[in-house]
Amino acid sequence: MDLEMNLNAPHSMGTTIIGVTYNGGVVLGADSRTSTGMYVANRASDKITQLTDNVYVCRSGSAADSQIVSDYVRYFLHQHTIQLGQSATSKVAANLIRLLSYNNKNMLETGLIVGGWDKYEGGKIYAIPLGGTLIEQPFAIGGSGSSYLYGFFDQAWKEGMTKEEAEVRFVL
Amino acid sequence: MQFTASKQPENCLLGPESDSQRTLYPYVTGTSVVALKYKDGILMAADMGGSYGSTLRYKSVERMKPIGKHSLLGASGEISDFQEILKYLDELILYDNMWDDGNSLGPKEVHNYLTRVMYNRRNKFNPLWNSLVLGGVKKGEKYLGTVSMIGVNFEDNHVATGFGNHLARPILRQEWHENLSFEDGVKLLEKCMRVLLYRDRSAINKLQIAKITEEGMTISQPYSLKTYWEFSAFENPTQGAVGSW
Repeated sequence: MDLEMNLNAPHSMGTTIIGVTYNGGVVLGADSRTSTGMYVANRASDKITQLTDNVYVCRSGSAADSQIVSDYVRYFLHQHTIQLGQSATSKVAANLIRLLSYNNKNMLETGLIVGGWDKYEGGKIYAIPLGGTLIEQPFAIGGSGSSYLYGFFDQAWKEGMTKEEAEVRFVL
Repeated sequence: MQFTASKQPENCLLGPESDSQRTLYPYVTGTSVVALKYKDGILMAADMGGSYGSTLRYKSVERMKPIGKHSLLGASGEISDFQEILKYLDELILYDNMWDDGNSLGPKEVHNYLTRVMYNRRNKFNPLWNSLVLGGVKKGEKYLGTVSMIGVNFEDNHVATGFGNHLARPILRQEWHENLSFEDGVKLLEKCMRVLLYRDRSAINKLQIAKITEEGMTISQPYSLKTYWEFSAFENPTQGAVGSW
């Protein structure tokens, strides 16, 4: 049995993250495992990170990269909110994430799902995969664990669910 | 992800690699775009797929967008770079409108701008990983051109990107003629898109057709093509089979 653990491997998340819209807003979900090679470095990670009162982001890929991008965007959004005089929209948050992901695409390895609610567009989910493409979707899945979910979502997803349906069927 | 150090040979004249930014490979990509000139303007078709390697990850990506009043841009390749190009063009059109002089950039000008952008990025070894199709009509004159990620550009009566060059262009060379009607143009594009659907692994059966004329641009709702699978070998597949389990 090979007990060699590469403890210096970059902390990757080995993640499943989900964002789903429903008839009143959005529901976000994520697992809590952070792995370094085969070792579970943190079994209680919080991969859903707050950006503003009304916008959150699900993080996947490199833990360091996703944390630093979230920190920068939270900082920019804070300033933006002060300047704007009201809450930032989820679209602005998503575009700030996109700018950082796109302009540093050679160095970053993180896939993010932005979910939020604002008074103009209601609940919205934006996926920002590797490379910095921004794509608005009624639901989004990400992380290495998401491969197993494509079939399920393709078959079971429908628009206009209630919060209970969205939470219970899809996220939980 | 494996981080491999890139080694340069001893006699290399290049500076340290870490200095330069360069796009090494695309992540989320769109496949072929096909376009042709017809009687009233340009018709362009593209499917709505965004592939992530061999996974068909996104199925509602709009790969054709209007530019200003007179042009239509279709793109294949890296979607994030296409989104960035749209931002550059937004700015270009904005400044054009700010002149407020009654003139507006036509498709030929936009195509030229895109060519310069793509070629200059290529020279810096940091390309925008796209193949673009730019079509439009201005003052009755139809224009259809293409630019690749290395800056190769030309105009023609019909153009295509990616697989479309190999599968669609030969069909168009045979069957395209001047003054195609709208219906005939759509039929011809659908014929090309069907072949691409059969033979391009990254194609999906959900496409849009966009039309641009002097009056403006319209883009169809997403729809799917009918395909043929009635091969005799598939009828009664177990007929000749020896046993089963």
